[in-house]
Amino acid sequence: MIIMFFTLNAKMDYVIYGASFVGKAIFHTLSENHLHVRYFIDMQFDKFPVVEGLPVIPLEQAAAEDVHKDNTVVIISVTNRNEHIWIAQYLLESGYCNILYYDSLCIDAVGNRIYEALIANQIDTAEIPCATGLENRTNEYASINGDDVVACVPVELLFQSDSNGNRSIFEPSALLTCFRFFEGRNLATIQQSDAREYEEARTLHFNYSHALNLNKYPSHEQMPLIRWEQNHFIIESGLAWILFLFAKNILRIRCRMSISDYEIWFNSSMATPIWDIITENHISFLYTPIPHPVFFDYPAKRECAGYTRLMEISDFLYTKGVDVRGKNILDIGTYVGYFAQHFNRAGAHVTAVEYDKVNYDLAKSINSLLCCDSIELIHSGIEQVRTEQRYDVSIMLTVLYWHLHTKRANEIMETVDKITSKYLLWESGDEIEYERDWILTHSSFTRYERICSTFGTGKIRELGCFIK
Amino acid sequence: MTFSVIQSTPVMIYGYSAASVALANDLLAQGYSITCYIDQNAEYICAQTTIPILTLSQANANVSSIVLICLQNILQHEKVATELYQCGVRNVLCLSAGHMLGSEDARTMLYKYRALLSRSFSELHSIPALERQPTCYNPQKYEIQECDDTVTWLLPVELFFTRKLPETDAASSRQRNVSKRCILSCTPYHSLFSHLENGGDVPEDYLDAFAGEDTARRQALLRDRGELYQRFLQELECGLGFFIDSAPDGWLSQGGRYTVADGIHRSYFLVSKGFNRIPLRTSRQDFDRFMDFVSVNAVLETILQENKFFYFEHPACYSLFDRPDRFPVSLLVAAMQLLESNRIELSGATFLEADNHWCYLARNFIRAGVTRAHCYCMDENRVTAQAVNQLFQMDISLCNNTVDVDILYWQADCNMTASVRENNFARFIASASTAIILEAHEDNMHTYADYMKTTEWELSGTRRLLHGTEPVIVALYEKSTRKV
Repeated sequence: MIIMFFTLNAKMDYVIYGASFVGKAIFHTLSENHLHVRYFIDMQFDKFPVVEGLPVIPLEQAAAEDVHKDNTVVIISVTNRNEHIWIAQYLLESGYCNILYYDSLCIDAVGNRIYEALIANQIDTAEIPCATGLENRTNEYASINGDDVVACVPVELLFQSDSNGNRSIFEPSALLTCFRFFEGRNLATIQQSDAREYEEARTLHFNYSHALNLNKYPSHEQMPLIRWEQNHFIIESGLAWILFLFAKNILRIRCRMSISDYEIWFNSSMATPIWDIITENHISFLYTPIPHPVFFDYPAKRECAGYTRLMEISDFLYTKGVDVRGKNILDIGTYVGYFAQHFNRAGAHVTAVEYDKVNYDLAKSINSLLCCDSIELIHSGIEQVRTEQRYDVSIMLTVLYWHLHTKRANEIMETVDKITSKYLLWESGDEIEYERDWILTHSSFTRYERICSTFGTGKIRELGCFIK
Repeated sequence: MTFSVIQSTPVMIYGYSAASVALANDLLAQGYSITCYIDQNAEYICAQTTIPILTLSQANANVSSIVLICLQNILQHEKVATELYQCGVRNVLCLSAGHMLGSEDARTMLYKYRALLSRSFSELHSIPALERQPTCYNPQKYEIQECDDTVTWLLPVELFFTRKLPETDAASSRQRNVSKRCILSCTPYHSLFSHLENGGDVPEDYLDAFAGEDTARRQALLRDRGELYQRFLQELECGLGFFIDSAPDGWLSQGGRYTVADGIHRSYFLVSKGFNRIPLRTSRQDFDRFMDFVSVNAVLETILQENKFFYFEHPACYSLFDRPDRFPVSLLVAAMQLLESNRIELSGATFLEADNHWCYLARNFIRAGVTRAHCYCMDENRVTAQAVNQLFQMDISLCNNTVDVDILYWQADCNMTASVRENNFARFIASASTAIILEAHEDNMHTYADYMKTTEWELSGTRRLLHGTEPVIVALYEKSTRKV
């Protein structure tokens, strides 16, 4: 492949993507160095038609009307650098090839150094490779070895099989609890009731840590073996290693599977409608991840690092003795269906409602991609759900606070109260105490149990459960 | 390849001792047949036994022989097994150091050896015939990447020192020797990664240090760190490759310390994930100097001779047989962070280590800035402790009595009793002038805490952690006069 380069010089014209304060700062730096900026590209062109005396136009218009793209450098100035690669991809598809942006997937990229210099008010004239399109990094997540594929598998898809059927590894087991204890979590609560099991877990943990510390990952033959079943993977061997990594909050684990299983899982044609919705609606990130290799690099704001809400919820349901298999679960404001899909895989009868059309379409497509079509997905508000239906567990995460001081909150709560027979899992907005008390006084839930504090989209929130 | 110990196949027993004779008798009683004992001192052993005692060369062991190693010094098992392997003997049942590397075969070997010790002879089938490499210390095997004159390798985390933390030090009102700060004592990083890993408390000290008081800046920084954390996590999911490729550069300083200028977040991320060894890139010269073949070999030889194994902060230690309760890193972290958060200056202080860690803490406290360190050490441990100290060219006085110091580390290995108090504890705490770090099993801690209430020492902080399989408490006490 021939790689073309461009440099920041006076012969080129410049366009700045994003007309916010970073864009303006870049504009001033370029102007001070006699580099000619022609216009800004910004989705909010209607609110700010002119910035720094230059026109602000949408990308579609720029792509259609700009005939000097080859001689133009587009500089992406969006504050969130994780979005840069995706914007660069849109720009590339729109005909621009000289794009300066921050590549968060390759922090050593040449362009990053030049981008940093530009932000620091300096022009670096080193050569920058022209954009050639996002490499399909899927190759990095999977490799073929003989008759097997070794691939990074999201932990959400991993299930263990026991005498009671299949259960997600999120459901705490004795070994996982021990491993988490050794990792320093729940130091106050470990029960050393089964001393032998505890000792064996400690030996395993120590051996695995030792191997990890020496960069000795399992060889191909020792890699955990998994098998595809309906919409998840069953762990055939290597459960302890998987749980060891999972206890470290590592959320994608390399496992071995047959080529045919990988092909069924990968099913990339089903990803196309999702990309279409993302592109059409200029969505640059999601709040929850899509546990599929095609979307591994697509940014998600939550559930992608640390001790996630799904882990907390799974722990909570386990302590309450709730086995979700065969239960009716309602996900209110399902967004793109992350939690609904998890409980569907776990064997629950899931109904998910989503009011927003774009999110609903996304959820529908993602359900198809992840083979979770049995979720009953309803495009409506909660008020439209049949009130004669009863749900053992309802999930309402960061939903109510949008309507808290309106009449709609009462309507929502009335319905939720009516159709929920036992547990309401809830995540607050930023008025934690008010929202919690409001629910208790406007429903028949008699108790509330706090699960944990959470931090998401700039707000400190609380995750808890209302119980009847 | 596997082999089985069955009645119809004769076996040899390596090592002639009361234990091996007992084993032989039990095997004979169960109908097994013993060809001979193998012992390097066979010529000098005068014993009335029907089974011949031979040297390895006399025994004429070959590829079809089965040898059970029965030596009390388990550190010798691997060495003898390798010696036998070089003579063509493949079928050896012993305690293998290799089981630490997580290999299924090596673990099976461990279970089979346990079956042998518990006389469950019927389980001695399908024993893996392990391939063995000479265990001679080989510095080259610790090189992960080599490029021009640099080497990337895995550095024990205790030796990872930051050159400076300007923002942190600016935020602190006191003077400190910034050139000596172990990554383990960088509490702002600890609170940041604890927050990112487990949620909960906002890492105020990290934000104070790096973002000042501006709320918008603090939130932006926290968000940015969250994204960075996510990035590191994604890289780790694919292995250590990213961390090795972008290993921070460090240079060797006194006492085996490596001073590192950047890459602290990357490295602390690994620490937060439980890594005790951090990829580091150094010059070939520094690597060779640190891996000093002659000195390290001498230490390993001493350990094997003395049969006194304990953890020490050097890659040569990685492949030795060890156990979780011999990894005192978590204790060091707790002690360092307690001192750091209570602003007890190590620079210029004196330190006494009174525990079973055999100078491990003393060496690390010297690296962190104390001017003089002592270690209360039993006579039988002196030779190995001195050998390791010599490896790092550290002058630590090994004492068998109290010494007046600023900071005392005391490990309590039993409940506080009148005898402990009168014979040891009371004398030792009287020798400290600034701080006492007390380590005790959580079940025993209250007995010490109760006693400390009757003294002039006040509790400044505690950490609960796991050492080996046991939960322990590390507590910091300061003199009440100092706190006022």
